[in-house]
Formats: sequence, C-alpha cells, structure tokens
Amino acid sequence: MTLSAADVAHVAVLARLGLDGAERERIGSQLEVILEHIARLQQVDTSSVSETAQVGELVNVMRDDVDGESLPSAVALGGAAASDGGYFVVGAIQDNELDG
Amino acid sequence: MTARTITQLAHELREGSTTPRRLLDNALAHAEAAEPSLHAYLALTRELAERQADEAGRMLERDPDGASPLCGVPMALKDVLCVDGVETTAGSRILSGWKPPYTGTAVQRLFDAGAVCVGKTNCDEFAMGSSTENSAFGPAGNPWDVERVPGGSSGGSAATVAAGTVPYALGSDTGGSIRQPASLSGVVGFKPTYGRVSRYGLIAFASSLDQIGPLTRSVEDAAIVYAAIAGGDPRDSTCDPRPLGDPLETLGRGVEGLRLGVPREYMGEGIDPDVRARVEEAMAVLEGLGASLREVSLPTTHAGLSTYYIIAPAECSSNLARYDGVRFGLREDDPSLTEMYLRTRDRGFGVEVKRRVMLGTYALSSGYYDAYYRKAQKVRTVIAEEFARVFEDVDALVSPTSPSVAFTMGDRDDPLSMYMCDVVTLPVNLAGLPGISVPCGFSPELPVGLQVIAPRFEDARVFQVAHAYEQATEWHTSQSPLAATAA
Amino acid sequence: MAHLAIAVGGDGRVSAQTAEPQTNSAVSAYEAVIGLEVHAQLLTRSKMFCACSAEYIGKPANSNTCPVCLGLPGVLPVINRQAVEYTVLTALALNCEIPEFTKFDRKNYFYPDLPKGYQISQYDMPLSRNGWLEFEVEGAPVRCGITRVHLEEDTGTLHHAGDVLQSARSSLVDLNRAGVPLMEIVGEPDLRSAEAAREYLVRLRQILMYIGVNDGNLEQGSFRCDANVSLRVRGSDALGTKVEIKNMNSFRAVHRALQYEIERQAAVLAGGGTLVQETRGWVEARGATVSQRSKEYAHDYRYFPEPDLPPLALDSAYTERVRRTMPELPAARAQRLQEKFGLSAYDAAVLTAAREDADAYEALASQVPAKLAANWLMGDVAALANERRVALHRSGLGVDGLAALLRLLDAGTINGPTAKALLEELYESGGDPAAVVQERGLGQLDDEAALLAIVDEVIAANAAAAADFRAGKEAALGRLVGQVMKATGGKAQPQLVNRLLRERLA
Repeated sequence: MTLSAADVAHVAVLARLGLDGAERERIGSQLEVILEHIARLQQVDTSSVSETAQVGELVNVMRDDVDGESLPSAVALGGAAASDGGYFVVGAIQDNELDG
Repeated sequence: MTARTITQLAHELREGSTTPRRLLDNALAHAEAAEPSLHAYLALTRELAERQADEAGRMLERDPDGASPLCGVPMALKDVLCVDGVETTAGSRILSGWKPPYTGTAVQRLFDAGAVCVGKTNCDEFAMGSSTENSAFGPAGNPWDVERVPGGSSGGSAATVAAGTVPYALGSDTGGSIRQPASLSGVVGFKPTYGRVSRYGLIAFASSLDQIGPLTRSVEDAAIVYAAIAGGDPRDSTCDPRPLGDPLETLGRGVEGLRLGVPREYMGEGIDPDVRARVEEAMAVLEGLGASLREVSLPTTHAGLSTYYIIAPAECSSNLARYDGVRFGLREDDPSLTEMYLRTRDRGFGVEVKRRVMLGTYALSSGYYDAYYRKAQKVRTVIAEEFARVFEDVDALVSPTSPSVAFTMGDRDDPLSMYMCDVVTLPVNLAGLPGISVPCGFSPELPVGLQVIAPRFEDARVFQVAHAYEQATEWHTSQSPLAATAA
Repeated sequence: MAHLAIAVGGDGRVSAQTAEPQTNSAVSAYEAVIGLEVHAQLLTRSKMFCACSAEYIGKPANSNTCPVCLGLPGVLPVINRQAVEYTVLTALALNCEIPEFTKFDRKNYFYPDLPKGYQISQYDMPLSRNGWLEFEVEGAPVRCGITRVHLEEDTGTLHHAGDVLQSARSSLVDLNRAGVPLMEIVGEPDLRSAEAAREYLVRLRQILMYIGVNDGNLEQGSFRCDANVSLRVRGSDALGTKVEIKNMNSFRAVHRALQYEIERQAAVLAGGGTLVQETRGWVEARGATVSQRSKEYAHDYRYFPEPDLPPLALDSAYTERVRRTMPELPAARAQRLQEKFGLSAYDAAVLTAAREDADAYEALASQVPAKLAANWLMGDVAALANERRVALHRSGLGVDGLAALLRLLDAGTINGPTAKALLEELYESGGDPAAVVQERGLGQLDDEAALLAIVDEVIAANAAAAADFRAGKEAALGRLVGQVMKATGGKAQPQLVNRLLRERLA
C-alpha cells in the first residue's frame, strides 16, 4: 500500500492538521508500515457476516421531550480563548473552508 | 496505608483507627514523595479532597453501616475523566488548563459514595498508547523499576496503586489500557463489559471500545468499585440498563467445576517465554482449585490488531475533531480560521495522536471506506462470533495479559511494536467482553499479569475466577519498592 | 408591449433588457429538472440530543447551550423521542415507507457553527423513503416524488461583521440553535417549472403546519429550502449539469431565483457554452444567482454509523400508533368541506389553507349558515386578522365570539354594517356581542311604521335625489338609503329601507 505525498497532504487537510513537510514524510512512512500490516484484514473471509453496527443489543434508546436547564452563558463561554459580547469569535472564513 | 485494600481501610475507618482526613494526608504525602521519580500524577487535588474527606467523615458518623465501603477512602482518577471545576487534560497540551463545567457519571457515583479524590493521574495523550510515554507532560514510571514504563494508557493510575499511594484508581480501557498497565505494574485491572459503565464524562477516544474501570490491589476491591460505578445511565445511550446484580455475592464461589479455555493463539510466539511460563503456572493453580482447562482456538486473532487499528483511529479521528480552538482548549490564533485550525491542532496534538487521526481519517475517506472501515467492522463480527462459539464450551478464558513485562522507556519507538503490547487485550474490546488482569508472578523481578475473560455481562464470573486464583497465591501481597517505603 | 427580462450573456454577465425572442426560445427548447431539499425545524420542547430548549429565537447568544450541544469533551447524545415521532408522522403524511431499522450517522466536516466537528445525521438508512406529495399547478394536479425524510441536528449560527461572509475579517458564533431537531425532506427532481416548485413548497409547508411539526417560518429559518436545477433538451432522458441554488428566503424568492436560473442556464447552453456544477446563492438585491464556489468541489464527509446511538427499530405497531394521531390533511379536508357545506373548490381551498382557519370555519358553519360563515371568514375577518396581525383563534373575540355575532346577524337582530362595526370593535378585546347590542341598543331597526316616517322625511329633504331616481337614475337611490341609515344611526335594516324608498318614490 503506497501512500503518495499528495495522499498524505490531502488527509492532513481533511483532518485539519498543519503538518510541516518533514512531519508529513515521517508520519506518511509510518502509516505505510501500519497499513501494510492492516492489509492482512483482506485475508479474513467475511462473506457470511455483516458489519458490527453496535457492540450491544440495545435498540430504541430515547429520552422524553422535556426541556431542562442550560448553562449560563458565562459558563458556556468560560473555556474559550476568544469571545466577544457573548459570542465565540473566529477569524476570517475562506470561501473554500468547507472543502474536505 | 501501605498495601491496604479498600476493604481493610473501610474497616479501619469504622473501627476508628484512622479518619478520612488522615488517610488523605498520608496519601498526599506519599504521592508528593514519589512524584519526582514516578510522575504518576498530572495534578494533586488537595482542596477538593479535603472537602470530600470532611464530608465522608460526616457520612461515616451518621451511618457507618449504610455508608459505602468506598466512603472516606482516597483514590485517583485518570485525567480523561471530567470533574467539574478541576483541570482535565487527557494528557494533552490541547486541553492544558481546561476545566470541565460538569462531572462524569461514574466519577459522580464515587463522589456520592464518599470517595476522596487525591488527584488526576498521568496517561498517554487521549488514552492512545501502551506506555504513558505519549503523555504531553512527560512519562510515568513503574514503581517496580522507575526507568521502565508502567504500561498505558492508564499508566499513572496503575503506578499510583502499585506504589501504595491510594488503594484504587479509575482508568479507561479501549484496547487494553487498564489491563496492560495493571499487568506491567503488578496490580489488578478490570475492564467491564462494554455498556456496563456509563461513558458520560469520559473524554472519548474510540466510542465503541472505551470503558471505564478500576485498578486496585485486590480482586474484591475491583468488584466493589465496579459495583459502585456500573449500571444504566440516561445520559449514555450505549449504557445497558439491565440490572447489575451483586458481583460480590459470587466472588468467593471458587472455580470447582468451571471450564476454562486457553486460546492457543494467545500463547504462541510473540509472547515472552518467561511470561508464558508464569501464566502456565497460574493455569496449574487453577486446575488445582478444581477448574478444568482446555485449549481453544480463536483463529482470527491474527487480524485483531488490524481490525482495532482501523476502527479505533476512525472513531477517534471523528471524536477529536471538536478540538479546534473555537470553544475551549488551546488556540493558536490566526486571522484566518483555516490557519487557526491547522496550527492549533498541529501544536496541540502529539505525534501518536496525529498518526491515529491521520490513519482514521484515511480509513474513512472517500474510496477507502469499504476496504478499510467496513471490512474491519465485518472482521470484528467474525472475532466476536468466535468468542461466542468458544464460550459455548467453556465458561471463561485465561491467557497472559501482555506479551512482555515492563520495558525500558524509549525502547519501543516504532509504532507497530508499541501496538503489539495490546495484541491479546484488544480483541476483548472488539467483542465488548469483560476482562481482568491479576498479578501471577514475576519475570524475573518484573510483574506478570494473568488475564481472565468472560462472555458479555458475566463480569461477576470474571471476578469469581480471578479471586479464586488470587486467594490461592501470594502475589497480591507483594509490594513494589515504592510501596514498601510508604509511611 | 415589451417587458423587462433578465438576459445572460455567454460570459455569464447579467443584464436587464427587453425580452428577446432568443431568450424565450432558448428556454422553451429545454426542459427544467428541479429537485427541492427542505430543512424543517421540529416543534419539540427540547433539542434533538440534549435537554436544552428547542426555542432559541431571541435568546442572548450562547445562553441556550449545555455541555452536550456545546460538544465539550466527554459528552454523549441521547435521542429525543418526540422528534422521531414527528418525523415518522411527516413521513406518513408524505406517503413514505418506514423501514424496519433506521440509524444515525456522523457527517464529518470542520466549521465553527458545528461544535463537535461532525453533525449527527442519517446517511444510508434514513427514517423513511419513497413517498410523494400531491398539489396543483395552475389548476392541474401534479405529483412529486419524495426521495426520503430523515432526522438530524441543526447547526449554530454565524454572524459576520458587515453581514457578508466573504469579506468579514471575523465571525461571531452563537450555538443557541446547535442541536435543534431538523428534518430533511428530499424531493425527487420531478418538478418542471419555478411555479411547480413554488406550489410544492406551499403544499409541503401547509402539511407540516397542519400536522403540527413545524411553524412554517421562512424568514426566521425554521423552514428552509435549497434547489437543484438542471436543464435538458426536451424529449431527452439524460440529465444536464446540476446547479445547487441556496439562500432563497421566501416563496417569492424561490420563484424568482428558479426562474432566473432556468433562463441563465438556457442562455448559456443556447450560446454553446457549458455549465459548471456549482453552488449559487440567490442575491435578492441583484435579482440574480451568484456563484459561491469558484471551482467544483466534492465534500468528503466520511460518513460512518454513529457509535454513541443504538439503532431504532420502529415496528408496525409504533407506526400505526403514530398514524392514528394524524389529523385530516389539507387536501382531504378541503374536499370534505366542499361536499359538506356546498363550497366552491376555491373557497374550500382558501378556508382550509391553515388548520386553525379550517377549524374555525367548521365550528362556525355548525352554528350559522355555511355561506355566511364562509363570506365573513374570507372577507372581513381575514382582512382584520391581517391588519391587526392576530389570527381569529388567537383574538379576544375568538371563534365563539364571532359565532355569536353572526347568529345575531343571521337572526336579523342587527344589520350588516352594525355587525362589521362590532367585529372591528370586539376583535382584540373580546366581549359578548349580544350583551353589547342590548346595552347600547344597537338592534336593527325594522319597525316599518317608524322607518316610513324617516323615509318620508329624507325624501322631502332630498328632493333632487328623489327626482333623479324618478327620472331613472338608480344610483340616486343609494344616496337616499345612505341618508336614512344616517338618520337611524346605522341601525335600519337596509333591505327594508330600500323597499320602502322604492314604494314611496314610485
């Protein structure tokens, strides 16, 4: 399984990890080794099974439509590095922010 | 304080030979003395513990018989467990300084029982690792040899119990992260059936694999803690509401007539010969106690690592997307949102976390989902069905917990060799089964653990087998060098 | 007379000019293929996966959140039972199939209004599939397929300095809305015109409001619509390049945007150009759709089953129980009222447009003549409700008060003008019409002898008008009637006044 540099760069963008070139190379080659090992998955015959959707047997786990208390906004914002007048603040959102 | 169990301390508290406050002070003093070499803690929570000790004292006075055995007994929490107002970092720089505005369910149940929280223990970042070397705040040491790892990811919890600072600590187990450090540090570590303990308040790594569980000095203690934290929770939809029963009721039943299976694939090459020898000796003890042992086969074991290392990273890549600098945690500010995301996550996550996030993102990405994630979930079904078939003929399985004893820090810098630490623990998570590690000797001076596995919801049976073995041997009375120096 | 039209040059530039035959024939050479996607917030009390209130409008920023909908470390979602029921009810109202198993999936992407970095939605096993919606376009019945109805959670909201995302240096994030239950209704691309699209939406919104799952508020965003538009040569089966249209915040905007887009695409194709698969936003001020993406893109959402939520097994007993709570749907109700009360199809449609109005009508028509009730509701009451911004069923007078008023009118106790005046007076404050009529002596004056005397006085005082009428000018009678009404303080029975005047002037 060969991971091209472009593959690694693409995955890093999807995951929003700002890896520098050296990191991308290092992680990329480590991932290749891991993926090679993982390839042995293909040897297992899974023709007669379906995916494990859930480990347990639970179904229909729901809650009643009752409204409870919300956090005070000061607490909701309490962990934020940047907030303004009750809002969380972020910088300029590029046109292609949603790509990937 | 040294080597005393919850049961022993509960007795001492009621007979008046000690108080919650005194236990706390001893624990803190011991922790502080051990920290320079052990680094089991990321934070000691003195103020919280003092309040809790005082409250526990009142509870014991009001109703000593009705109070939980955990009342007034000091303990520690792996730093992936949220406590309201107490810094919780998951061993990561990205959460450095973050204080949750809520306490998780399992922890709250302990607090309600009168538990006294001494501190938050060190762990691999976001519970990803088998040695605690991936902690962003420096590794923890093994009380049996501080140059060696205590195991991971709940290394700090294992170390502090092994050091005799506290009789129990909570950890979390996704692929072996309670059992493997318990094995390497010579303590008891229990992973409940998936869905027995609420995950609300556990910082998520892999949602379909994570479970909270206790690390203790005795099997009975593990059962006590488990009984206190387990049971349905409306805040966790995967937490099974069926009745818990009382695991202590069957604890002392012994193994007479029980059928124990030994998976051939768990005893093969890859397991250190001396470790295997200790485990075979343990099996002989069990036979001597009346259990019948037979070899069984779990043929798809060889694919367990691959399966785990698709599913866990896939789920974690999604679970860790919330760490983006917007609402909490580290923010590497930038005029551009995209740059802020990239730099925050680059700076905030360590290399193992990045590796797994990358791997998981890749496995889920367009064009690869079927070959990786979907395939892995199918192999997972095969593995679970193999266990189910084997359990038609045996009541429990026994095996080594870890292929090796504690290794020296820095020894396993190749990711795959580190992943191999969990090769006989992670299938248990894939199938959602309960499993325990209990000390079964040394090799030659480092602890070896015996793993006991049972079918889903047969947690009590795990305790029963482990307890029988424990009581027939002396290992549970062994003290690490650090424990021996405790006051 | 030439009319103004939007024309699009081959380079995509928009200009307004008099319609050229070229544009019209370009459009007619192609068939529009339109599919609509509606997101409708559900009227639950709490959010989809946590107990925060689902009512977030008007609350101070970030005051309606909790650890779960903030996506803090360690939290877990729990499904809102009522949201599932509302979605099933909607699916049944849209004739969809409910499968044996349904589950949630994670849709992964990064955006500041998405706290967890993924949205809990449904991917390959949605709550329902394969339904249809029937409505009318210019009187002709149309059926549009419904591909699926599924359930997910809404995102938070972003506010940009200057209100335009592209040029804002920073954005403010409010998570009050994050986690509100959202139903996604995907229609088949069966719609062939902007008008059809509009009628589809009107009917869909009407149904959702009838069954009580959504409040139909396009302006506030509780009912949102995106469209996929492509063109193909008439008679062809192949599908053209699909363009997604967003940001249509009213039915009028939907109609204008789709009309614009159809013409834009036709002009490009007719000019030999190729269309780009893209997302375009409707810009009301420019009367045009504008490209939002400079290149083709494909989201990689990396869907996988939500491990924190067990699946739902909705058996037929459950579905039947939900079906039994279904109220009579608008089309059926209109039909029934038409038959029961002898209404025209048009009147029946108007009277059943909103469920509360249909309820009001049926309540009224059981107490006063059907035609009278219909005329009043569609006329004066509708006008007043509009003007005062208060629907009848929420007004002080209420349906019962109006019934009492109309009974007085029908019995002849008061006349039409008095009834109208009382309606206006009592609409908001309420009150007992019979009591008011009694107290203030507003009863209709129908004593012939008394009226005759007044009629004679008025004829005497208005000789010119009387002469005009005798000379054949019918209109002059109106002035005389008016004078009699004035002299009686508006209480005279108009028909009687009319008859008496005619007799006297004969």
